[in-house]
Amino acid sequence: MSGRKNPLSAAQAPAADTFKILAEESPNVIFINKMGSVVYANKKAVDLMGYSREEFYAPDFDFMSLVAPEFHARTRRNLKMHMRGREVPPFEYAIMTKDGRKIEAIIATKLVAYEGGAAILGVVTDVSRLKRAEAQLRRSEERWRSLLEQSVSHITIVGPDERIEFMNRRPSGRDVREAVGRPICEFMAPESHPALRAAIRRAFMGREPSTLELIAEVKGRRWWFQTHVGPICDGDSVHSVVLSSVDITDAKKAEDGLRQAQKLASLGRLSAGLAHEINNPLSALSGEVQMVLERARDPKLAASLRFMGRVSSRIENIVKGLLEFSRQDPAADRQPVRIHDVLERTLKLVERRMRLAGIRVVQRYGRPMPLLHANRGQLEQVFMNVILNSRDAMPGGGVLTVSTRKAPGGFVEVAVSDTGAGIAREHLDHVFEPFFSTKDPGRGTGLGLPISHGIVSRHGGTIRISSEAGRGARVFVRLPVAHGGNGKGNGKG
Amino acid sequence: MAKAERILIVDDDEDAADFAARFLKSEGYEVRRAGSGPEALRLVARRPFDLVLLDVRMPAMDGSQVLDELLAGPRAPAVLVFTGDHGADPRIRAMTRRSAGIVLKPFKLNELRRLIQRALKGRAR
Repeated sequence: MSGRKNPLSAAQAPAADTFKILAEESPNVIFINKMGSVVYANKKAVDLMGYSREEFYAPDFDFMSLVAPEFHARTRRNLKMHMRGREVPPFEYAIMTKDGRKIEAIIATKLVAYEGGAAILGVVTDVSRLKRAEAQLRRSEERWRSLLEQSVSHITIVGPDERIEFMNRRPSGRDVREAVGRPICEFMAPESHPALRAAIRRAFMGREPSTLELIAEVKGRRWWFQTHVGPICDGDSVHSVVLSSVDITDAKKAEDGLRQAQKLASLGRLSAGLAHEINNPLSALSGEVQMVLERARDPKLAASLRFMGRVSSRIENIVKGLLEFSRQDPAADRQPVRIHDVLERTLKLVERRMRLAGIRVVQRYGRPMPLLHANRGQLEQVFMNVILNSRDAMPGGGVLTVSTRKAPGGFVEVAVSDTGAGIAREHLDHVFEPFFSTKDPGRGTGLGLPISHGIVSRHGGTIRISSEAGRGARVFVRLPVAHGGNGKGNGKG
Repeated sequence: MAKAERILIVDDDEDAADFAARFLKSEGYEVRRAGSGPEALRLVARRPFDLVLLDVRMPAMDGSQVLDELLAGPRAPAVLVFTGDHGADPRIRAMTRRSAGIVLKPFKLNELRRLIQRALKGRAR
């Protein structure tokens, strides 16, 4: 501005009075300082600084009293530069009012000719309001940021292309920067895609918020979320969508565990009832066959009756399995048991079968392990079932790893993992149900894992399987440590 | 030949009781049947039995209640628990401890023969 020519021609130049009025009514402080004395101060100067014009114009008025002390040096320097005829760029400083308030301001000064001499024309703009607003904005931004960062909710902002624009945290704890810019569905379980896409679309189109349950999945690990999806509006348009999610994984798992336990309990009752109902007529049938066989003279008839006897035995075994599965009583005949002895014995029994199947057995035992108070035979049955299942999952050979460790809460954990085909996610929930089998018909009774589950439960333990199709399976058996079992392994008889 | 030993079969399952009765008759015993606990106790009160094959799960009166009555009466018979349930069921274990033994349905004929002979011998003592 300063370098530009006055756009008004001389003929049209307003009278000096007009400038005076302009100066008087300016929203900025305007003053003229000649040789250190104030020779003009406008109305705003009077209003803002609190001095009357008489005070400003008094010969002994100290100009520097208008400047906050920390800016005195700078102001003196500027004044000196002006005296030498040099211009000074505008700068931010603070003025002092008569009643001692400090006001942030910007001052622009210019050398002018005034009543036959050089003077300094100053324009002071009060920027205290602006500064306050700025600080407020900064504080507000800080507040939002820490709110997002410290929120237990997972906040994700997604653009119209379903890509992540912002994310406050990731369930896996991994760096959020890896996720920003990527499509959100990359981090979700496939079964959650349709519902999530629909909710995002709805938020963008209809601006309708929705609440849904989503499953996040990264590298086979899953997290359950209760998620609210809503639009972020900018005037009339929705520019992104915010997903606010609460992690409900623990509750979900507890709920699933409870549902699983209830399901198995009711299947147990059904099995017990069914077995009882079958055993009564079956005892008549099998007895009759035996009785007739004992008296049969005709070899053909005897052969036929023996065949019936074999079929009857098969039914008896199935029903026996059902009864075994349905047992609720705490395991009986318990004694102090070393878990490694149980595993050694079981592995010895299957050694030949493993070799024939081309399976290498790896043992990784934690030591020392506390004693268990358990029914040794039943535990052997559990690990026999688990290990033979692993063998069946590795028809082309592989590696079977049996490891042990102490688990929190007074448990011993045995993990049996294989390198087989694994178990599809949709099958995992059913592996402990009687007769649920994906094996070829005729392989196994379909009761191995259900009975193992029953045995472990009746010992006060848990059995759990984790697997991904194509990545093998891991079975975790947790059994409670005997009271007083403290890892020394020298159990009483 | 001595007089045949008397056996009472207490079972609400027609077929199971029918077979057991015919088999034991063919083995030379004198056999009666009762379809419920109260009926069994009436028969026992009328004339004592040497041995009772006693089912557990029955309507009207549970096997263990019948066992109480049988053991409390004069000239208590030898009792074999006769069940299609799991022998390790706590209720059945408790009954078995107070009896001469247990026969799990379905059974091998020789097993039933052996258990009955042993129970009767034990009672004779």
